[in-house]
Amino acid sequence: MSSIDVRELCGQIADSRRNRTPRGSLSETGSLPLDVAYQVQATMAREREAAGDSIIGYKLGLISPDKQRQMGVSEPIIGHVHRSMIINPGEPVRRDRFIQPRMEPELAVVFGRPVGEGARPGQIAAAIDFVLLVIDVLDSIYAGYRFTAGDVVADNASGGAVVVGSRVLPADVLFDGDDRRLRLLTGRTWHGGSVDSLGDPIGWIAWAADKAASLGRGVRRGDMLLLGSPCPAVPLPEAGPLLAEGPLGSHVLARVE
Amino acid sequence: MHIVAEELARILEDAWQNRRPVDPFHESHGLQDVETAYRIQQAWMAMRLGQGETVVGRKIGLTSRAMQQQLGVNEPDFGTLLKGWELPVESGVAVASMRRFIQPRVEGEIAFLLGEDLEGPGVTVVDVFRATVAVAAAVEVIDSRIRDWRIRLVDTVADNASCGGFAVGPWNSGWRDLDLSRLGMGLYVEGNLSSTGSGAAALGHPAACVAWLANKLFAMGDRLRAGDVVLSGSLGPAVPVGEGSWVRLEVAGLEPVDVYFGA
Repeated sequence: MSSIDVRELCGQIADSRRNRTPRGSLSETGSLPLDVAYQVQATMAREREAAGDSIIGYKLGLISPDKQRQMGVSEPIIGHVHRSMIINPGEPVRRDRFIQPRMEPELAVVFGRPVGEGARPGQIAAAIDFVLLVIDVLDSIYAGYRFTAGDVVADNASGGAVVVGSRVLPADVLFDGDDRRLRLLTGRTWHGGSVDSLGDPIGWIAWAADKAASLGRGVRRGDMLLLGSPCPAVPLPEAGPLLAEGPLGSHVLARVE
Repeated sequence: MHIVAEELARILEDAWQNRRPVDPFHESHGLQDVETAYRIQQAWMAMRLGQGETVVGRKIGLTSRAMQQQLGVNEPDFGTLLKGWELPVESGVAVASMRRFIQPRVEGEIAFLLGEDLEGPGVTVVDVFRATVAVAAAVEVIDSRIRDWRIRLVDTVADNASCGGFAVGPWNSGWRDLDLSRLGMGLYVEGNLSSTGSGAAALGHPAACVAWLANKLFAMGDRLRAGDVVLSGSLGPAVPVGEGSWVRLEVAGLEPVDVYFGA
């Protein structure tokens, strides 16, 4: 595909999001290669940043081998996190800013130092300032989340919002501890999975740092990285309480309005 | 009515110096807009700094829904913490002279000590978590230079967010082990539990208040600075105090602070 196609795709995605209208796959008229999809994503992220909504980190998706097989890819995907996506503790989650929101409980690492390409495990561990429990709000532009890997990458890995938990967690929670569960309240039942099912966090951080470098910006001091969900996404409630729980009694507690 | 910020700042300075309250500016001068009120506050603080005062940090006010509803507003306000208004805490105890105040009330708060600048726009709690070196329990003495506390938003904003003094307890650098939104607060006056609350009472999270302030300051061409102390907002209702009052603030996980109001 030519660079004109990248511009055209950026425009289509921006239109869907602006009008809050779900759309069909971008790949319907032919496959959308991952490298072109990442060009689309990076172009849109830079434009959003130029408009004042700075990039403050990244999110990982498709970290489980099952999900990867399902999407026909052999590695995870990465998306950009912008400032305006962050919802602080105590802020309501405004339902009307999304198209078809779903949510997942996740851990996010926040870096006290940059993480360069080819960083060694020890360097990565030392670069982690702290960890947060978050609710990752996904918001795909594709109707019913029916998309190809290229589609979802071009759509910034379905990034919608990040509802931040109320306490800082030590990096240790990635590796050990008694309570390994991340769970979300859905209606009156809990839905979740174990941190252990995320695989090797250091390995994923290394992959994300390399990928972020290849997209041009890299992982900087102060950036966050969402490590992916241990369980499938569920719909964001229309209204009412939003609650997730994680290690060391951490929680995300908000209201959907 | 045309309002000259320096004139109203002078009125506040005189009221503060002489401990003699004045009529609300919304009545006496028709003060209506918040921007002008902040200009009055800035002019007053500039006057204080001209007298050799120094700045310790900032305070955030109107962080609770109850206070916002009372004043009919939907966002907090802020003021400046002056070194001369600090009540030094020694061995957990501060002694304050009632002669400093007009109509003081006390509030229980969480103070932040910043190790890095926080500059908007778009500062989030994640930035605040990163920049925070330590937190402490803090008693804020709020006081109004406006007669009988008959304040509207513009009056308290001009009046340095009704700051009167502050006593910051021992800093806790192990705050990362705490969930600041879930810290219980009890404020005792004369041994009576007079005000209770929790961290979440301040905009849902004390760190969210600090983020709000960094963004508010950016909109006004300023920022929070490394080394600043930020009082993040009251965790419960304010309680009036008088000569001889002994106030004790307890916040779970933090060292308590006692303040004695002497003659």
